[in-house]
Amino acid sequence: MDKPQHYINREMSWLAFNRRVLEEAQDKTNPLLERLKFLAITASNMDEFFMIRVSGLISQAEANITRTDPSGLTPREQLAAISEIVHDISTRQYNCLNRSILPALAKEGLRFMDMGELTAGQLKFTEHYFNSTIYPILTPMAIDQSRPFPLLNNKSLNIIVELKAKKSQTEDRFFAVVQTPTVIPRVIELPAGRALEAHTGPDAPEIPRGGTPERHFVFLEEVIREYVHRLFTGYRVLNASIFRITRNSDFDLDEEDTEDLLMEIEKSVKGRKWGEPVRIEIERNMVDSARVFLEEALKLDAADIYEISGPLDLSVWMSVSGIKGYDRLRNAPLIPRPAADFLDKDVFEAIAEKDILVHHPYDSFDAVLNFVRAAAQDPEVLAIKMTLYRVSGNSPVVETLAQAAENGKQVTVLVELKARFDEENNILWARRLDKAGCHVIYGLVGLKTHCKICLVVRKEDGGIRRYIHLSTGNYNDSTAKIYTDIGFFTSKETFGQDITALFNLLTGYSNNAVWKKIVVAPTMLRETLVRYIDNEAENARTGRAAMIIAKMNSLVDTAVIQSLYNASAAGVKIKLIVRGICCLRSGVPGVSENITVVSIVDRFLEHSRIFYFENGGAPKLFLSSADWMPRNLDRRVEVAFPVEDAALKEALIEILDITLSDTVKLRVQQPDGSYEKIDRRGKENIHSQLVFGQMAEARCSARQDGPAVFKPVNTSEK
Amino acid sequence: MPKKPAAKKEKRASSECKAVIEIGSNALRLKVAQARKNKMEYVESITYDLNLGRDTFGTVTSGAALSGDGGRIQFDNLEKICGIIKNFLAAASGYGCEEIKIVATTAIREATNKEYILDQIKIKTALNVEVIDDAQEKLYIFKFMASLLNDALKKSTFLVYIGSGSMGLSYMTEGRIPYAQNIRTGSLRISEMFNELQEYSSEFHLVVEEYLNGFTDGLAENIPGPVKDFVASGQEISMIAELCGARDDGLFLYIPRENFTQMYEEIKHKSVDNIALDYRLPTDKAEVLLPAMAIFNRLMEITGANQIISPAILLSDALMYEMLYPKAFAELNKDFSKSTVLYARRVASRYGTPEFHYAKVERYALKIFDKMKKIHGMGQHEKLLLSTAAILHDVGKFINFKHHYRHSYNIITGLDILGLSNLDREIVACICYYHSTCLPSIHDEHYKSLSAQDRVLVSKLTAILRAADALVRGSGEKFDSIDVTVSDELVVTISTEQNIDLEQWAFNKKSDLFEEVFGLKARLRNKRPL
Repeated sequence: MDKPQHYINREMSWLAFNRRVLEEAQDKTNPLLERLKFLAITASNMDEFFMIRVSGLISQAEANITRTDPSGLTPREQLAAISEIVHDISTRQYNCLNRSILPALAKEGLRFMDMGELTAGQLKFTEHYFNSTIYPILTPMAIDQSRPFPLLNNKSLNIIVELKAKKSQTEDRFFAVVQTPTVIPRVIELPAGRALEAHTGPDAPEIPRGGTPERHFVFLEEVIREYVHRLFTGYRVLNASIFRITRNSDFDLDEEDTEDLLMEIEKSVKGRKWGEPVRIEIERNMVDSARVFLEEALKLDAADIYEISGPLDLSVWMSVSGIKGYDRLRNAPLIPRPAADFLDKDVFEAIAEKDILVHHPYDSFDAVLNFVRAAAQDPEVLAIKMTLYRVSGNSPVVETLAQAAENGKQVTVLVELKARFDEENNILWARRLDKAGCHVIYGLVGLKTHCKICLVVRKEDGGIRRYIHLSTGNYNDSTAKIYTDIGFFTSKETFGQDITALFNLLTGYSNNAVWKKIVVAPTMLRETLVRYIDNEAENARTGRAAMIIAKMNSLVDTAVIQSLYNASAAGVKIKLIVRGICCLRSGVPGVSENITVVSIVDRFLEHSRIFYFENGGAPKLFLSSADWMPRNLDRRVEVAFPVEDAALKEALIEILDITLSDTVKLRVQQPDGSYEKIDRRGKENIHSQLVFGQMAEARCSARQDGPAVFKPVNTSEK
Repeated sequence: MPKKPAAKKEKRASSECKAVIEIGSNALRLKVAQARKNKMEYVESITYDLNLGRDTFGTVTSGAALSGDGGRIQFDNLEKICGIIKNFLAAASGYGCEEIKIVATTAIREATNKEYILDQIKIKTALNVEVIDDAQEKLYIFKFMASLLNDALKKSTFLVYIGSGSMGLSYMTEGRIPYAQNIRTGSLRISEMFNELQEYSSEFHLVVEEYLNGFTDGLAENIPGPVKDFVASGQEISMIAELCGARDDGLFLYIPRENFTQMYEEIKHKSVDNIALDYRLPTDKAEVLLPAMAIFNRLMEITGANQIISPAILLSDALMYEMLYPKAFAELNKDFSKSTVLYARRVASRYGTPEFHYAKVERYALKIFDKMKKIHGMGQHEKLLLSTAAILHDVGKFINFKHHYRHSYNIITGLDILGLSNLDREIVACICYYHSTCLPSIHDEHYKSLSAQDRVLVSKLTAILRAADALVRGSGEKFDSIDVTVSDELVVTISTEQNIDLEQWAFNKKSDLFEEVFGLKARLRNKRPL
């Protein structure tokens, strides 16, 4: 069961995921600007992939580590395979852009121009813009014996310029680098239309199809290149080409030796810019001299160089996809509905009455914000404890917690400083909470606190009562609008005791705990999952009903996968809904023939983790913050919690059923590790994310309308 | 926002949360509870494992465990203790606790640097730690334990508490405890003592069993008749219960003897590492499992019980009960003092004091005590001390009539008197020392070492005991009751036609202290002289 061919390499699986995102960009049934957004996402995904995963593999390869992954590949073999696939994906990305999306945008009147296409008036505009706005913020850096190759920022866009002194008698040439500034927009609108920014206001009028005014845009780096000679008076510019570097941004904090974690992260954030380069993107047709110079200066192999036929860094299209006035080129918005169970009720009374589930973003995240707000203001609340992993820049949660502390509540906030790429942001609001009088703590050494838990202690007439919110997603009001997550509210004492005990562990108040309901990683989660999976296998062998349905972001953990293979071999039907990486290979005879793996990539990022075990006819359902990955099961504090209320179990089963029956966005893993959409012919059109939106709307209006009442006609209006 | 009438927001004393912090030998514990409809409800229970017993009982500090002296609490552990207490206080304040009791047990009590430790805790956390002695600890636990038992379980029961550093055994019959004993050994202490043996000897359990025989050999003869039930608690009982597949009815855990024995047989040949691996226990817990089970096993053999019944209570539970239900706890005290008296009587009989003597002395002493309430201002607890002293004052005669008061003192300080703390026992012993000839003197070592307050207490109770004792001369058949009146003097009136010259002489001689202590002359009067 643990033969290499039974596993899909993790990086290959991730690349397959990014292909699925790319397919959404290619899919002509998606509105144009949505396609552009998906395209931008593939690019920023790829950046992160290089900064973390590829960087890690390069470090391993350089350390001559030859240990193979479960699929039997060494780091070097993986790097070779990655390079090949990424080159292919890159070609497809730009084919999609150049051949499909840009022509379609042009049809809508949105044109992205080469400098050569500009009219005289537009050139006059760019020249003026260069002189007045761009020139003052450019810093050309010449490179010669006394001036080494400059340290260029990670993900920065640069122009390499080959120069020759005008008066020089020799043929001596040298190079200089100009970084494109990040403080002004990269997309510049030309006078043919209006400035792009003018269309980002809330009152921007919708542009009707047909009578569309032409709007012309040009990229900042093209304008700089056009006038770059002005930076080098006395020299002749032989050629100027655009390139972009991506650097190693994986870093491991040596926490055991760290007295003050906060300071260490601050240092590390600054240090990140200067990691080793791991990828260089250059524009096609870069002259050989410049290309060779860069290769040598950045010490990169040919395999790390990616030739691009179009504007570098596709993530720039994210801002274009948000252009105002073109809603007809986007999905009709799906409006988050107020969570039905809280309508017209006191938050605490509603939770005291029964356990409540909320399905974001279909149910509005306001349910969670209101819970925290009510806790901050309610005179009977004594204490609030909460984990914050990633919160939005201007987070209402942070603001509310600060107010709660000012209102005299005991507020304990566990701030996870190690959330990738968010550190700078995190440190700011950690300070903020601290100032307001919150007890801010930074978690356990060596473990990221990934669970999303909130505890409110309230002193009621009958005594102390605890209110709990647990979720599969972060307390982030921004991502809650685009991630699908499930939140759970309860006032059951068993949960109260468990979550209290977990906070006591996290705050260092205790150093051991026993759990009544929840399952906690890194101590017990893998073992518990394996036990439940094995239990299904045992049930299958003894002829009892056996089935597993599990929804998550990624499935990587070898121990869990082996357990799933065993269960499959024992006859357990296993349906896995894995949005991203899945190292389990489905449909292998004798190993995984009873396992199907499906993936949904759609407008909302599928983020909820739901685990269903048939359990001989008495189904067990868990929600969790954890994926089935070693990092979640070994190096993070994660929680999986059972949902036991019969109605809520039904609701979760319904979510799983609808997801599995999707015929629009569902893709099925093939034995070779690729994914294919199902044949829709003769099948009902089921678009699961839209169905969930309709369900939330129906729940909400059923509750708002309430039972039918007789309304008298207002006669005075007649 | 919930709109509630203002009246509802008034804090009601009954739902006020209270906190207990216990600095135990293997962990610090915080418990926060509220009183709800006569049922104690915990809202918070935090354990922070910290092995202080290793410092105090550890063999590292040159045989501290075997000698009377403890080891020292290490300085870094002191730092940890203070840090943990601060965290506990923060946790407790999250429930709005205002009343917090903090106690320490064996590990701190026996540490040679106890005073410095307490001082540092006081400086760093502003809390006064109450150090609970052996006897008090068992008293709290047995009192609370007994209150949980139903009548059927009170008939003939062996009550056992096994702490980390000490254990308490007592025998209950018909709701009373005529026998109790504290043994200065416990699971952690044994584990620390035989630390090295446990690692190298495959027959470690034999060593422990043999060691325990020294403590339990005399036990069987003190327990009259077969014991029906075995009720036990202790640090490890919950762990043992889980390993043995105990039944839990919400009040007690029931560990079938069969399961227990099977489990004990299973682990006794295993190394600590194997126990930890096989039963998924942290090493700390695995280390004490075998000693704890060995103790329970040895004790179960003494009884005929087919199961261990455990309320799984710890000292902190009993302390919490006292804080939340002071009145109910006082009732328990009252009830329990009957056991103390019963126990004292058994001891007196064992040492050959005639019952007619000590019973009469006790009766007269209590009568005087009751009549003088306004003057001496003492309460129930002091009355119990007087009773105990009145019963035990002559036990020294077992050794020698000459200086029998001195022998009484020595015997009493060597007893475990369930219901009395070690300080109480010292006070009773002192009273008995002075009941006969000598008067309390600051030159006496035992008297000098008492606090000023306790010295006064000893003197007051001694004065009463001496007067009562004077009335029971010879066989004490001359009269059977006394009347006591108090005005500007204390008058004890008896009624007999027999000659009471001896009693008069003794009374006059022995009531000298009375005047000095209470400023009251004592006089003996015969209503019916010949």
